[in-house]
Amino acid sequence: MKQAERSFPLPYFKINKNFIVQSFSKEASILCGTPENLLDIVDEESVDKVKKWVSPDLHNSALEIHLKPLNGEVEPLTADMYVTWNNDLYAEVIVMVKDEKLTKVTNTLHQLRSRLNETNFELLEEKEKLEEAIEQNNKLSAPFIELTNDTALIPLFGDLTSEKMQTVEDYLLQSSQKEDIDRLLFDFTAVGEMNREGVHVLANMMTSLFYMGTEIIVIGVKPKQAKQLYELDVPLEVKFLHSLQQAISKYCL
Amino acid sequence: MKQHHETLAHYFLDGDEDQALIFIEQLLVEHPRLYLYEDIITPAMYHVGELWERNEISVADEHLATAICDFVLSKIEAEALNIRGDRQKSFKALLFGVEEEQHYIGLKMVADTFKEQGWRVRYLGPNLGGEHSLTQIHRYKPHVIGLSAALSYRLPALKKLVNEFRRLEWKPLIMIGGRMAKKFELEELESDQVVIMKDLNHLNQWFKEGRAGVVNETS
Repeated sequence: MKQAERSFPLPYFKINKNFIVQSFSKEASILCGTPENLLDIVDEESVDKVKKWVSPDLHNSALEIHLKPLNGEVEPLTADMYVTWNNDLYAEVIVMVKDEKLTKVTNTLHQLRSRLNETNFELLEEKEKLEEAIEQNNKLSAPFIELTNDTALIPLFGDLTSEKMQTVEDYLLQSSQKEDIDRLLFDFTAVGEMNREGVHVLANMMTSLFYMGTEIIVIGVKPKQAKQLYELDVPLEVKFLHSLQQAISKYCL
Repeated sequence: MKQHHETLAHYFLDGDEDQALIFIEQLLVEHPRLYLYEDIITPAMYHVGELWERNEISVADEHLATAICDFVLSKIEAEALNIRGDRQKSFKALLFGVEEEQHYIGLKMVADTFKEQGWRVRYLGPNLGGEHSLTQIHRYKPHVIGLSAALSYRLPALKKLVNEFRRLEWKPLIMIGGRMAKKFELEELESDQVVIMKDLNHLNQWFKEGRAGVVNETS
């Protein structure tokens, strides 16, 4: 193996058909030292490609390959390889590392993508915070207040959504099993909008409570809500009273 | 007739995001997302790699295909139904590609699979420095840490990270994925705390077997 006498201003190798380097140019040794075998500088994922396309059967070929990370780089280098076979035994090979334009475009793309991802990430964090706040809010929308030994008040706050009702369901079912509670006053005074699914979950919960032997009284229903409750099949066992004052004087005094 | 994944690969390579999206949305009508990821999108991207090996396309084409694929994935993820609050689990997963790793399409699909299962996910993207990932992990305290790598040059970095994560006091489950998990024998890394995920089907199997429940017990 010797340095080529003709001097190309390019990384140039002369190889035999087993890829053994016969001679090389100065630029080649700057690029990748003095490999015995051309395949030694090729990234392992490109070896098959080189074997397939660098062969005396294909007199000429041009292909793109990756070189192993060289000179302290961490990334495989992309390069163009031009091959010409002088005869069946020897080939001349030029290895041109891709110019920086491609790398620049690639890096720009990567930067754009990571920026998109960052924005996403902040939004996601806010979204999760909001979800937690809503969850917390839901939990606090149906407190269980014991008025006397056998009567408890449950004021409902805000819109009746299925999510909210599902959040409070377990808590209310368990609380109402406490000791001697056998009458529950659901106060609708602070209820805003009601949707079908929300009322459905509430109605189911009332039925469960009723089966557990609890008397259910709904108070403070506004005219618009009354219409909706009627349309939505609230269990017949539920009693209705006009106001909390009425309920307290009836059951607690 | 060309196979689905080849058709899709050509839309990717042509930079035709509209057609790619229409094509995928049609498939989504009849097939679950897992099928799309594992049997269409992944093979499409492998097909792109094969075309490069056959000297038919250049690295620049590959980058274009990756960008289009990324776009399409983001789009279908955004259109997916949100997991409702009451089904949302309190499990958290943090996913990233090891330092210098630029292959991330697979990881993105993994992130999506976790989300579909009701997990909370932090997908930090590819090429994340070791220091940075540790800061995030300490802040977020995930139940699962998913690492991905495609090229063999990342193996030392990967091993180093796994060893660091094993020392975390809340004992998260460490998942290793990416093409490297498929190609190399990484069994030596495996333990009751480290799982090698060969592909998305494997991950889905993991969910089906209720292995996520085990995570809950240990952490």
